[in-house]
Amino acid sequence: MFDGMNKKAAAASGVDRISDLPDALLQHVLSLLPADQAVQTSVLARRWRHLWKGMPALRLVGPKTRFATAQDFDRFVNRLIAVRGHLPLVSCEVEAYAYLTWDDYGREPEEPEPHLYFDSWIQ
Amino acid sequence: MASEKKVVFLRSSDGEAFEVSEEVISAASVTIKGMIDEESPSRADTAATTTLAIPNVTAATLSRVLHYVNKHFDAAAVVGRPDDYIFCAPGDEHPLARFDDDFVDVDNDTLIDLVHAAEYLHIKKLFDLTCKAVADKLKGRTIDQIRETFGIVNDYTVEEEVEVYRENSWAF
Repeated sequence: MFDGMNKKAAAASGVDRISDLPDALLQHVLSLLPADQAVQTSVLARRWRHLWKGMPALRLVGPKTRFATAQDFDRFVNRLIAVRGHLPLVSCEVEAYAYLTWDDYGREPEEPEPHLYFDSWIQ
Repeated sequence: MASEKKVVFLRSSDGEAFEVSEEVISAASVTIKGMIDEESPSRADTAATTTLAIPNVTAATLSRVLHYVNKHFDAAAVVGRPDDYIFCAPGDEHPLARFDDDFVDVDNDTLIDLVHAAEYLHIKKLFDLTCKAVADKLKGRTIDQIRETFGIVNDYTVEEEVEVYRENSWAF
C-alpha cells in the first residue's frame, strides 16, 4: 500500500528529530540496546550526556560477545550500577553465557565460575 | 456493547477524516477507546456518526497507523484468537512478521512520527515495534554513524567531548 513512499531516504528533512523526543521515550529506546552501547550514546551531544542513566531497563550482554573476558564484563556491570545510582529499574536482562562453549572453559581454566560475579551485583 | 458494524471517523491534525471500524480501533488504541466510551452515553439515542479529533497526528501518519491496526485485526480474526494474538510482539515468528518489518522500513522522520502516534494513541504493540525499529537504527553503529543517520549535531566543545569520553571510558 505504501510501497511508493516507503523507500529509505534517511533523515529526509535533515533535521535532528530524534533528540526532540521526550526523555522517557529516548530512555525506553536506549534500554532496548545492549547496556554498553546505550552508555556510549552519552558522547553524541549534550542532550544525550546523562540520558542513559534513567534507562528503565538494562540489557547486560556479556562475555564472548561484547567483552573479551568475564572480568571485563564484571567491571563494566559494577561501574554501570555505581554510576546510575538508585534510579528505578523496571527490568534487567542478563545474557552472560552467549556462545560460550566447553572449548572456552577448556582454554581458560583460571576463569572463576561466572555466578560469583553476579553476587556482587545483587545487593 | 457496541454493534460490530459501527464505524467512527478520525480527523487528523491537518483535517483529513478517516473511517475505521469502532471494534477495530477500540481493540487497538486505548486512547481512542477512552474517547469512544466517553461519547457513548450521548450517542446511544442518535444515529449520527462520531468524529473524533486526533490533534497530534497528521493524515500521512494516521493512514499508516490505521493500515497497521486493520491488518493486525484482520489477521487476528482469521486465527480467531483476538486476545492474545491481535498484536503480536515484535520479533515473534508470526504471519505478520514480514508485514511489520516492511511497515517500519521507512525514513527516520516517518518512523519518529509513528513512535509519537503510537504513544499518543496508546497502541502498545505499535509502540514496541516502532521503538525497536529506532533502536535497531542505533544498534551496532559508531557514534559518527548515529550522528549522521539522525542528523545529530555534536554540540560539545573539544574539551567537553574529551571529558565525556573520559568519564564513560569504562563503557568503550
